[in-house]
Amino acid sequence: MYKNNTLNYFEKNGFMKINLDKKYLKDYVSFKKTIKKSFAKNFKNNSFEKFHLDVTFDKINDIRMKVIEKINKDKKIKQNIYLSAKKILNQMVGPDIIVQKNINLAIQMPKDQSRALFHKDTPLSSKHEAVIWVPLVDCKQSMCMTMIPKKYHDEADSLLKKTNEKIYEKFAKKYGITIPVKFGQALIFNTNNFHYIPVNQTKNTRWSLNLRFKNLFTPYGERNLLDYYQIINTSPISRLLNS
Amino acid sequence: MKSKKDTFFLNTELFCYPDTLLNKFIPQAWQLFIMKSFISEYKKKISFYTGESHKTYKKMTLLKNKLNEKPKLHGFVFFSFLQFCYNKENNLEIMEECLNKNYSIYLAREKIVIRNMSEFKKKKLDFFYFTKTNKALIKSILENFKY
Repeated sequence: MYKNNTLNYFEKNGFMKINLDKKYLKDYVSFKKTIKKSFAKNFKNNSFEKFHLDVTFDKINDIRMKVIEKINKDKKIKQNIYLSAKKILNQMVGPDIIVQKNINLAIQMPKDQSRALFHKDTPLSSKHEAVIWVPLVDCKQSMCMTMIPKKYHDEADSLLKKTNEKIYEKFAKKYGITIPVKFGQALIFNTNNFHYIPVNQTKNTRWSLNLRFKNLFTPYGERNLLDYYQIINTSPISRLLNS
Repeated sequence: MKSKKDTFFLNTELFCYPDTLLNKFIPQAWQLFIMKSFISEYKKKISFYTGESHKTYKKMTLLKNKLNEKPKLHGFVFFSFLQFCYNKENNLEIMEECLNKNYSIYLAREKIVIRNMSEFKKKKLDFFYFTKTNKALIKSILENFKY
């Protein structure tokens, strides 16, 4: 049995937990401070975890969009995410790596029903992509995503024609794996992996970033270099060919 | 003489280049709409538009001619970087020529703005490998545009 933070576990299941490089944790902390400062009127005196105390469900998406706009103006964040997971990403997809141009942010307040349904990101995304999911708060229980191990994918595929969300929930509860991920850690999963996002039944708001990486030379889905991705790391030979 | 920095905010007009080869999929009117919408985020507007013809699209001859006229413009807006990829080798040198002549380049489909050579150098590898990794796409566009 492999541990859930090893590449062997990833190869078997399609996902794994990693510890982000501690050298870059201060950048995540300062990033959180910047968000809090920029959106002080929404945070009031609340922490990220207690963000929901002064925000209503009808306001949250508007706030989320504004935070996304703000964080995507900062070019360093993508670089920091990459550098803090570089060791694993370079082994997993690299070294010629492209990254999604825009970072996504999810804010899931307790009891908020609006969330992505049971799905996998392919075929819109390439099967060769790795998604890094970086929580900005400690996540446990229903704050976490439920990942479906690779061996259940055929069965999951057959569920996609169904329209009853309860079926997905039942399936995810039966076969899914929920890995607690703390701030300073991340979950990496393959885009071909089914995942399920439960309603957050905890008393804390979940804040998480997600960003996609793939090898420059692997097949593409419907998203392409320049419009969706940009190069973030190259091998000496790839640089040589362009010089 | 005014520097690029001085003229950047003064001249807001861009010459607009829809992608003739994509007209079957995205009609020119929609390409213009997308380009207008994209450049409006930068408070820019279109001065005039023209597309390459079936005889000029490979070498982007109309664009080269326009550059030789030294138009008083902020720059050029293209529907897509694909327009630089229809020659055997990509036409990155034309992009460089635009920048060397102090014109900015806007690529609507990719949401990319290149204002100078320094920004171009940062993106050059992406442009180079876009062409290398999209040969099938480029080939299919070219095959759909046979006259």
